[in-house]
Amino acid sequence: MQKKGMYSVEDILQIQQVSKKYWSKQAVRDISFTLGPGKIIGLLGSNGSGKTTIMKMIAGLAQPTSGKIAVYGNPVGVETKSLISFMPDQPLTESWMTVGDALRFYSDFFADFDQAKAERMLDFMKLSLADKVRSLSKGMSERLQLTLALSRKASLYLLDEPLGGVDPVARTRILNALVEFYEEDSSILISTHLVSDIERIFDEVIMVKNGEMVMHGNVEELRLQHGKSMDELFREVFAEC
Amino acid sequence: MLKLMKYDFRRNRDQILGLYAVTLLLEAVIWILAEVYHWENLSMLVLQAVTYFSAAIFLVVLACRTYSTNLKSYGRKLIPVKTLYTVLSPLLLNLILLIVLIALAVLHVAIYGFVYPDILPKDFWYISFISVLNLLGAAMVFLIALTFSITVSHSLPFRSKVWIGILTLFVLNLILGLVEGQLFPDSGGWMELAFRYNFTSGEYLNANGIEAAGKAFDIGPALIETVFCLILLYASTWLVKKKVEI
Amino acid sequence: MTIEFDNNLPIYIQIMNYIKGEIVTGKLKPGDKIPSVRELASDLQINPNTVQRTFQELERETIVETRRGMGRYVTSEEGRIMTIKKEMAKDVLDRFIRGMRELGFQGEDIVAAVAESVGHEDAEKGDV
Repeated sequence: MQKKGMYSVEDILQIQQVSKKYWSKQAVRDISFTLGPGKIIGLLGSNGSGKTTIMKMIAGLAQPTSGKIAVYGNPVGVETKSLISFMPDQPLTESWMTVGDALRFYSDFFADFDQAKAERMLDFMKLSLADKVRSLSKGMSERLQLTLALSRKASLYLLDEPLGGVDPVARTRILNALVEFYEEDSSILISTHLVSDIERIFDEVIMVKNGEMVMHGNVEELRLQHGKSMDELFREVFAEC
Repeated sequence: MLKLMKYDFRRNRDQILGLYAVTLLLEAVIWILAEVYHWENLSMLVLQAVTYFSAAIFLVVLACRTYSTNLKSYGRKLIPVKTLYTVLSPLLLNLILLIVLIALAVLHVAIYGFVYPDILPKDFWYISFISVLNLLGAAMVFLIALTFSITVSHSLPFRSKVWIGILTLFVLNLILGLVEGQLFPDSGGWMELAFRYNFTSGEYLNANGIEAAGKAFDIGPALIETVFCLILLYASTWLVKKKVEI
Repeated sequence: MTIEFDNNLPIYIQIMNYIKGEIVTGKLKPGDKIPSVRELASDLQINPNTVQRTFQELERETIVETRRGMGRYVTSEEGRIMTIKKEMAKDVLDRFIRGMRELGFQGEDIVAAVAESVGHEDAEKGDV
């Protein structure tokens, strides 16, 4: 898959004035931002703030009502699906599958799937190939979804609430995996409402409230400017909720 | 696309294989009962035909469920495959499964041919061939119409989706009937042709032969239905790309 | 290596201070090799770019040097390390003196208070 514009420093993700209106609700309102390569970015917002909708639109699961989204210059479509690895809040696996089947599904459809890496990560997450998806606990299922998403060599990783519903030990393990996993030519966008555990691994944060972007900046600079942690800033922004 | 079909099959593998097994079992049971209780040949054959037909309907329903599940599946929606393939995959799988069913039926009847030399009417194979081909065509058209209706109901952002889907199906049927009726008043679509020999030649049906009345294959309506299907496939693909969301 | 991070302040500064502390107290000796960006990021569970920035700043202050193809090392210039030690001490002193002034102490009183305090500590150590 060619990435357009290799001759210039192309942004991995460009979102221009994107809005999304469902039947009766304005879920996302005029959001614009760009993401460069080699970054880990936090998409911070409370539940229902629109961050999941934004991720779905980037991943191609939903269409913006207006505005444009491009990945390495390519508008969202079949090609961008091979550039993006999405871990949604719903399982990607089907209930008839075993863990091994799930890996096979991924390797069948994604050319950038790294089987060896997946198996290593499964080991790390304490999952076995023969486990039936149906019999996995919520925590184990989340670890499987994360393994699948991270075992691809994608340009943009979208993780929707990877830390939700996961015990603190597993959380540390996941954070470790994310830091180990970082590549200079790809970026990771992580949406979450649990900020304090994870803010140390973010380069930048984008805060979304009621579908609107209220802040986008470099984390260290924000700390310097405000003398506050991202967790505190987050709480301030969402104080009225 | 083969990969998509493979996974469509894997998801339903148990049900499909179970269906074939149950069908064959029922056929055997009917045969045995017919032997033991000395049924009329016709009764046995009709009962067995109905069994095969029911199995075919089950396969069509399964194809619809597969398609519907695919439209709502995160895993399916995220893979980089052409939207057209997503639409075609359950259809082609269904075609293959129906052909397998037909092959089983053919085998079954061939066995009869050996065991009971006189059971089959004259020209049976030729007529059945035509009939089955027409039926297959009709099934495909019907399935494509169903696919479109399912797509429409998944494209809508509000409730009462199922009813809209059913409504769409009725409307499609109406349109098709009207168009064919206008352009080719004397012939029927695939479905009609498949059964025409039954209606007009009922009195000829005996141990010695049946005749087919009318044409075996009508190019006019067939063309219309083909165009109809192509339009629906294109529309379904467009809807899946633009309007179906999870 | 475990550092208690304060999320209210830029992390790269905190890491810098930690490393400087290690160097100044001799736990990291002149010419010692420093962990790579990845290693440190992974150990501390922080963003690699943050670690990168830390190293860049340390290099700017010539506390750390990069040897092409071999990695990053603590400077072997003892003089530089001495200077850093004095700078860090000055920071502590400035903060201390400001604190004492806020309490109302002036020049010689501050010196006297320090002498007394240090004297006590030494005495305690002597007993043990």
